[in-house]
Amino acid sequence: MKPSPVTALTRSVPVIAAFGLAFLLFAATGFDAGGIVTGIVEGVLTGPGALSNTIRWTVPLVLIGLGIAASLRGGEFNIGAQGQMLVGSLTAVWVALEWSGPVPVVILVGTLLAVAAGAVWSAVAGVLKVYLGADEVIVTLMLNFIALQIIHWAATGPLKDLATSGDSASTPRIDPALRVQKSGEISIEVLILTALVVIAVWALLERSELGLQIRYAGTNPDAARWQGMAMNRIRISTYLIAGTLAGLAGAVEVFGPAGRVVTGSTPTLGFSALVVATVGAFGISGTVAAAVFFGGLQAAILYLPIVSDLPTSGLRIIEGLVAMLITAQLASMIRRQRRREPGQQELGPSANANPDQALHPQDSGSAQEPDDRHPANADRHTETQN
Amino acid sequence: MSCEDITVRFGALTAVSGVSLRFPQGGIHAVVGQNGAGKTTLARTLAGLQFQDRGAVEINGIPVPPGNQRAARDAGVDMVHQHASVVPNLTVAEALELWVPRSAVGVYRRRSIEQRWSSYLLNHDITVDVRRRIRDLPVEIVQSIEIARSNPGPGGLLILDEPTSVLAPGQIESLFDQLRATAAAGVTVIVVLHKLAEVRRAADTVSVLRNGRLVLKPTPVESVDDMSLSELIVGTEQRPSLRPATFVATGDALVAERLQTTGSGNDAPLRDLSLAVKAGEIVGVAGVAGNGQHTLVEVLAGLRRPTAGHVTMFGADITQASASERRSSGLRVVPFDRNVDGVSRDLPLWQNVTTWEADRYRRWPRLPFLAINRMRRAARDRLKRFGVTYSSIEQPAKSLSGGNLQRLILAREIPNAAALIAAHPTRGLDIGGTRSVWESLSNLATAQVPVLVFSSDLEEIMDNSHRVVVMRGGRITGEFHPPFSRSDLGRAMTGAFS
Repeated sequence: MKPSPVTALTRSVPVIAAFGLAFLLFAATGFDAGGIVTGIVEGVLTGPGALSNTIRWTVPLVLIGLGIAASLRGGEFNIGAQGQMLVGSLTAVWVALEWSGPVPVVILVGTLLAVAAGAVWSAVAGVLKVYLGADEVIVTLMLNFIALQIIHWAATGPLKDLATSGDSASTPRIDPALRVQKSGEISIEVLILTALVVIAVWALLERSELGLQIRYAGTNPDAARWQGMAMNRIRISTYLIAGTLAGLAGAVEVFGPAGRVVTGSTPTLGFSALVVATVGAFGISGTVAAAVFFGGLQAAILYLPIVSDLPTSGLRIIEGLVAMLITAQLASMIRRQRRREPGQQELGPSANANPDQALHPQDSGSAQEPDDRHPANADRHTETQN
Repeated sequence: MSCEDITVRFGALTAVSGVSLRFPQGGIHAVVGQNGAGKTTLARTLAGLQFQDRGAVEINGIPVPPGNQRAARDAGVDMVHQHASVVPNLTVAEALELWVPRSAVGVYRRRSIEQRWSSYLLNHDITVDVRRRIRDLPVEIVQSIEIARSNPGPGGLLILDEPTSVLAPGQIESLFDQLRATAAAGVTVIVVLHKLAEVRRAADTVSVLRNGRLVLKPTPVESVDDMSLSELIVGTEQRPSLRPATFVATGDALVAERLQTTGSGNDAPLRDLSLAVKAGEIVGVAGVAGNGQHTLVEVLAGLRRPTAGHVTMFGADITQASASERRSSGLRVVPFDRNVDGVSRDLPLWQNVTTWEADRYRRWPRLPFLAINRMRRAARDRLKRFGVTYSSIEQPAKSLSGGNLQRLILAREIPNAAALIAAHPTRGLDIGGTRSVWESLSNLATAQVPVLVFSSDLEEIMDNSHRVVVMRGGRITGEFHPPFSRSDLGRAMTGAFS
């Protein structure tokens, strides 16, 4: 899709509609809608620390979202970003707590090991899928639970923070000297790193041999195989890209705003990022834009209870509506495009003309499948939140 | 059945333009024309599967609302598509049950629907185990099931879109028998066809579409001769033989030696199959679909390992080489189904031509990053060389017509080929498209490249091959040299020789 004022306007319709619907709901249930709007604007942009909070949540969504976009382009429905990020975070915390050395070296080593941990965690799923034929949705979902339990074990055992109590378990905070960004700050280093990652992912997906082959294999694995593309290598690489970026996001959390790993209360970035990548239509700029939007919404969600009596679940409703309406719009655009296609008279209905009867795997695989599954994930995401 | 002034546009393209047509009740009516002439679009409009921009359709005097398949079916119109449109994962009985329109949610007993549909199919002279899954059945059986299923009953109208393009010669005759039986039962049959010989064998009347316009109203087949029909379809061109007159025998270039494989479910396994193609030779492989052709192409392409035997190319044993290694040594393959295996339909043309060998377009020799503009330019050059017409190199592959898509695949596979395997390269193409494919293959052979062609069109194979082999039951059952005899080949294909 070419960017133009018209498409930009079309793409913003579901967002506006989602806000409209949510505010109707708020007004109907007796909340002060005007106050909520002011609250959102303050929480995203103008309030104290708002901009830094928006950026704070945008950065991990960009990093993880791009990895998921790479997976989805390759036709691999890797929903394990949450687990991959958590093992990355835990690795980074472990290095920060247990290793001593010059600050830059510890940060560098911690980050590299976190990246490696995320990549390995993801590659486990990749190997099971590619070589043994396991279903990647189930494997990555289960690996999320395993990662969560490992964190829980570490945070209640070897890396226990003696100061916490109650339901949530947490590791101790790392040495403040090791943190490049504290809560409420904007870190130039992190922003530069994020920008470099965006450029690198763009180069990898849009301008490299591997990137083009990922897309080709993702849209039609059969054609890719006939043309001798190394399918196993291509598929595994999508898991490595996703795991690497999720692991990196885990390290950024630890050396940045979070400073530790907490179970039970961290927003499930891995699942929000899945929404981000889907809403961004697996594109680079789309994913970044969606990350900014959902990052801002996250900042507003955390800020709003301070100034309004609206519970945080109210904004989760907006989040869910946006994701739902955008995917609905994408699906309908795809269907319309198919209906208006010239050349279909050559191909017969099984190829493209009748979307209800689309039998060809690549037709449903490339575009509709993630869309169809996606609302379920938005739901899951909302549930784990509350 | 009649229609008035039907016009269908796809964006800038007018697929059907002002067609008014009246089919007499009963009999078999052929509609012919080149690819892109608008045959399928017209058929889909009649069946209520396509909105027309202008015009009206009437069945038995009752107007049918545009693009309303349900209304068309209720009026007695049904359509059998070129490619199967039954759910591949269902069993035969389930697929047929699914077709029955229902008003409420129903519960069914497996046993009872199996009995019902099994006897229904027997009544239509189709013997098949209704518990088998559609995807495991040969294409001709699926098609005959679809025809039986779509039968609208006396007074109704059955439309078939290029039903012969997926069939072998023997199967075409039994398809026509089935159509004659359907017509004899009082159904009006409209069939989109490509080949004049088929029109002669099957149809009572013929009409011709060219560039979306009707150039011949339904006319009794006896009253038009082949010459004027083909002039109406394309102009004055005839299909010439393109077989290079001579080739210098230089020893075997591409050799399959005593190949064996295990079964694959939808195609016969190979049983002790040996075959050799010389440099510059075009060898045609004829055979009824399902006799191991698919398996053989997969084994030669490196997508499947034989359990015994060897494949050698220019003397080097490549039995254990991967598909990618074989391609680096110059083996190229035109796969069976251009839409499924040939291209990624949603991706731009240039990616479909260049992605597989993207490493040839590196921006810096040592880094895997690409010079995208060079890739686009290379794709444009190749598409131009092979006569693909398109408006932008960024348009998705699915926007090309069948002939153009096949030329795109040739443009990808033929340059730099040291050996070529082409599976059904002309399937579903019109006369012009078919000729340009054979021209390309013939030029390749002239350049001393061994060419192995699989086709279900005997005339084409006989016109263009230096040698024809016949496959049956996973082996080579006959080898023929020109002048070829259709009946000899046919006997080898069906196994009816002494």
